[in-house]
Amino acid sequence: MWESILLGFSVVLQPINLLLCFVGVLIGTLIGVLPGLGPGATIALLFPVTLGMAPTSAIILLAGIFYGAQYGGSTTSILVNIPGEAASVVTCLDGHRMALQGRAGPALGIAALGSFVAGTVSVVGLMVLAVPLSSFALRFGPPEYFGLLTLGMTLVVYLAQKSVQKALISALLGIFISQVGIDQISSAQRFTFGLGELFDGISMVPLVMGLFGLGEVLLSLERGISKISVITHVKNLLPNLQDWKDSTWPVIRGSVLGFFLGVLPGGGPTLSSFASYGLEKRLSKRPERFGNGAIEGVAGPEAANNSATGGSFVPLLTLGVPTNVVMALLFSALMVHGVQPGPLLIKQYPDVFWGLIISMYLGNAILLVLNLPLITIWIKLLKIPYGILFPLIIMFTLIGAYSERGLAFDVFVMIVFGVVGYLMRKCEYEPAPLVLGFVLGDILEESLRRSLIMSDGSVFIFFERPISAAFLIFAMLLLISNSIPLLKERLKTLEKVEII
Amino acid sequence: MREINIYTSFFIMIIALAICIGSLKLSIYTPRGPGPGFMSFGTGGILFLLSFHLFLKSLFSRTEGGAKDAYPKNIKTTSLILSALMFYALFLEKLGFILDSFLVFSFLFAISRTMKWYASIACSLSLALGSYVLFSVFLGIGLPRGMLNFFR
Repeated sequence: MWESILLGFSVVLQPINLLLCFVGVLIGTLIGVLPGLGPGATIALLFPVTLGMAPTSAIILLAGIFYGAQYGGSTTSILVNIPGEAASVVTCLDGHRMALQGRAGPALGIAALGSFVAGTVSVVGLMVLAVPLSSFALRFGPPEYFGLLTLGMTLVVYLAQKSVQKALISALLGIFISQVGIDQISSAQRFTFGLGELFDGISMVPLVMGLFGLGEVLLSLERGISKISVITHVKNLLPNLQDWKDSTWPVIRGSVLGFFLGVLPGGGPTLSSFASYGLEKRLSKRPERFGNGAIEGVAGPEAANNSATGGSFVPLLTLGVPTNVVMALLFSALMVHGVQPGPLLIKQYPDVFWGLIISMYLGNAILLVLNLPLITIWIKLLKIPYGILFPLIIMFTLIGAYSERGLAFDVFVMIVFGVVGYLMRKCEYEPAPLVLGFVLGDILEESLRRSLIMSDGSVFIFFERPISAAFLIFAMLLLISNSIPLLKERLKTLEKVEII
Repeated sequence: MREINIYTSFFIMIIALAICIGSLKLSIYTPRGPGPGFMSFGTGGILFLLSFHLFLKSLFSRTEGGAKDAYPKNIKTTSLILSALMFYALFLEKLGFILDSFLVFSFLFAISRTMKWYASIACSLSLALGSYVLFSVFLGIGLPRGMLNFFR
């Protein structure tokens, strides 16, 4: 283990990697602070820039954006009451209330310090869990992968913030979009309509840029977030003794809970922050303080969302299964560089794996040093009117969409998915399951078809093998457990009708 | 939301049917195993069932709730932005990145009404030139030169 950690340090301490780690967390913080452009769209934008880099350098830069954004998101939540990131929604509740009470400094301070502790915990968790999980995953064949991916998709749908049915529809649409292009097994053209640009399928970058970049801009313009009031008076960033006393356990609990929820498909930073807030409120002796400026309501969720970023890497690096949109993009980034995420990654590319882990640790330290002194700059950035910001965001999405393959066609694809993303949000269909369905669709199809070829068309292969059977049964139980409350509700309605 | 759900689920039902028909044209099952249309047929089938269920559920639902935010507002601005982007995509390779971006961003800044016209033009020009230098020169991303190719 120590040799591996030293290898990680030797990779990260190379000047170029150190610089990229710094740039990644800085960009991450910036986009976390600014509402409108999330880490998904930013990673998609910078994805083509990383094509000329070594795989380790590319992943260090892109991962930095992800966890950097979690730090930045809290600043906007506390000072403006607008979450810079979905994962920072909960921080608005008590963070902004603290700021209104003149305690913006301790709120920002505990968010940054708690995030650092959580980031460290998640890096340790990743190191401890990744190696045994990879060894276990070496036993997986196509049926096991099919079971795992089905469970992953089910969890994504199950943990949907709105309607499970709509999330499932989104995921299925994503799986369908992944089918477009030439079939890898039979070389047949599928849904290409004879367009040469579609032979290689729909590209991930314009899809993500459209759904999360342009779609979000169109929605923000409609909602009109230009009139924002920023709390500019920030002093005493270091929390006092009482603040520490109140926050220590929430930070520890948030770190552990966040890490394990981050490992779950569909979990990630957003779910973790909500879960941590709920847990702290339930454990508190004075739950009425929550929503009125309780520092635990900032410390727990902020620790949880940062810890979840580390947890999200576990299934990606050990099983080759991305569990959220950002992981899906990192999965693609690794694949483009010829690095196959999965059980063999640690053995075949130790420099990538350990380099990434150590960069996350260093990145967290950089963020702590960087964030607190730069608060005044972030405050100034928040004063930029949205009328100036939105053309800039659109420009990034246009460049990002064009640059991956150098095709104007991809700009059209981005615009189409921008409209789709906008309409999906309006109609309460979540875009994240669509992206996950799109990314996992290819592997899901390949594992399903290969399994059926292995078994001469018998579906019992999935239930004859214990690991795939366990995954599929668990997925079924999840879906059934989700249907039970609906059935109960329906039975009650029927009973009422009969009584009447 | 009820009305919106009826429209969207009906639309998705049509898409799902189209996917199933398209998959039937590809081979669904071959003597060697599942064919290229196998997965898309299954996906289309489940999609149809789910959207049909949502359609029926919404049709017979009595609750309206949450419809206020569902219909698009500010359609004029949204349509103008989308038209500008379509123009951008259509003329990107002909006009080149700098000129195309300059025109589109001047337009976007104009509709945002955050600055005077001369400031919008200056901002768009510096944005188009600056992003070209950053992405094309420093980051090595190939952006089209179009009409300005003679500068080579």
